[in-house]
Amino acid sequence: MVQKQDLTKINDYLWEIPKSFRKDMRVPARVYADEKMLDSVFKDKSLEQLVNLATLPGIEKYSLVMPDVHEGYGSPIGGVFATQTKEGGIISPGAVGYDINCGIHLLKSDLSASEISSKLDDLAGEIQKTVPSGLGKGHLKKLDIRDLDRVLEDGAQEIVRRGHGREEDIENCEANGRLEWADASAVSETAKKRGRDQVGTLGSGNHFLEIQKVEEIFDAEAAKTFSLSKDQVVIMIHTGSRGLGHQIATDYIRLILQAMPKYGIRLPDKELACASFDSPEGQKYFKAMACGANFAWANRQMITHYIRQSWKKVFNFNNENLNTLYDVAHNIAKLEGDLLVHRKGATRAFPGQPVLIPGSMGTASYVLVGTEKGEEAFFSTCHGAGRTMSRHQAIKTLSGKEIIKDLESKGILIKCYSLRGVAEEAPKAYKDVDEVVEVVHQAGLSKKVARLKPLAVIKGE
Amino acid sequence: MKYEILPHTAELRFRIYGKTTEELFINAAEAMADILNRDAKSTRIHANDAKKEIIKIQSVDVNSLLVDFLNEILAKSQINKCIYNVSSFKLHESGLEAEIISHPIKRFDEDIKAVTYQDIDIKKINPPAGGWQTDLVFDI
Repeated sequence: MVQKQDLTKINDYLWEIPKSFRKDMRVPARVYADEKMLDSVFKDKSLEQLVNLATLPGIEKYSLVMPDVHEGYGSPIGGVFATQTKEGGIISPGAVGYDINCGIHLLKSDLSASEISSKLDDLAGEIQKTVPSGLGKGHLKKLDIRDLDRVLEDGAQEIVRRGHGREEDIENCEANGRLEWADASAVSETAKKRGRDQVGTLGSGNHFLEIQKVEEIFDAEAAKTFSLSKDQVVIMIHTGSRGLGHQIATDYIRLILQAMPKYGIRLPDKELACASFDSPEGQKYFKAMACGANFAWANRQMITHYIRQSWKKVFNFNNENLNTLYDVAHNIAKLEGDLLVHRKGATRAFPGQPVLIPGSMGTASYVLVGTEKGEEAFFSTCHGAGRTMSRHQAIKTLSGKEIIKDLESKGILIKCYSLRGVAEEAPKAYKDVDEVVEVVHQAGLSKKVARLKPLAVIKGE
Repeated sequence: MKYEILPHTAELRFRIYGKTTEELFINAAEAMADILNRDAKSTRIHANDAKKEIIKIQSVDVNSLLVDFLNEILAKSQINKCIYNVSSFKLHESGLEAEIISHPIKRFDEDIKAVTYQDIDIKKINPPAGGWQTDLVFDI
């Protein structure tokens, strides 16, 4: 059990658990948090999970966790580490997570909040009608397997090629919406069946669409580069690889767990199941994970298309001007230089790159920009607000109706199917995103560019 | 008691009970079905559309077997848009064989991504309570 006295303060926003804390640690473990936030981190198993990361073969420098940290399974949510791809460095499906390439896509409009206010309810309603959750029968299109294989290998580029997007969507997407080493033959039939009717679906839980406005600009120069201005309407999409990605993770955690004894790998937690990056199992997972990532980018691209259709219909425009600012993952493993960087609930933040941070339901979201100083964290930053309350506790103590009323009193519209889902995702169940973002800003991992205020929250039908 | 809900910050954690390990497996499947569709009777499409199938699974140990069993049912649930009840179940040395019955539903109440290995540890409970238990974490 990690306690506060086990941590050394490096600076006001960075703490370290030394390698000597536990004999199986290969490197130290680091926590980005301010003092107030640090006190709450001890309430769950986050730090034990962070220490477990530090035991992984081939790990470089330290395991890290971001200020929106909370307990996950295997890796803590907010966990980051890098391994050497040679000399036995590992790849771990559990340290990427089941929702491969869960991430954010942000669209910028050429309208202000006041210009859309009279049609906000219509727009939110139309978007909710057009973007299925994927949990019901809905109007889901089932891809045939050959088409699905193309989506798995070409990602968002395949969706744009089919006429559901623009070149600038691809140019402004991490990895141009496609990891080129993806190999559809590495994905099981079960995963493909789970994913065939899910392209263009939102999912549930903490996935959402939000119509937002730019409330505050912190960095005028960066905002100009990103074409963001005060009161501008933007639309945020938060979703991932749906059942296809979940099944890829399930398949490979199982496969790699079974393979680990032959490589002599022993771990403190089964959910960190890992194989050498160079091993057949490691390489196969890397190709399958890339398929999952591509599927998620295709998914967000398809939802972008549906949102553009909704926008055109509601405003009766001939052309809609909804352009992609950026699309970025927060559950993924990427080759960056010589290192394989695993991020689970953490966002890549290369210097000059837009970083998109969703708040909890009805609270602020942020656009940040990556920095040179981020190299100390393998160019990573936070991914959101981070949960503090269990879903079960949230449903028991919070009322979905009251939450909707409260948000509506703040001028925020909610379109949702389930009051239970609203209670589970209540702002009180999360950390304060302003405080989380302030830590990464002060730590220099990424700098604040703009704060986004929600106008309407849309959950799947 | 077949199962109860325990705290977990972000996911769903259950404690599953059973007088025997077989019963524990069946109760775990029921817990998962109850998350996927809370009020199955009101959202089933047609009671006559229930279908039976046999599943056989082998795993390295009994804990992994439980995870693999539930993930198999979960995948079938999502692919076929239904929930499953276990009508017969047998554990043997290297795995299990079960008959499951599907019930088509209109929508899922929860999107379970996967059944995880976190905290899973099927163990005997000492008397007087007796029986078997394990914790189970579902990624929501």
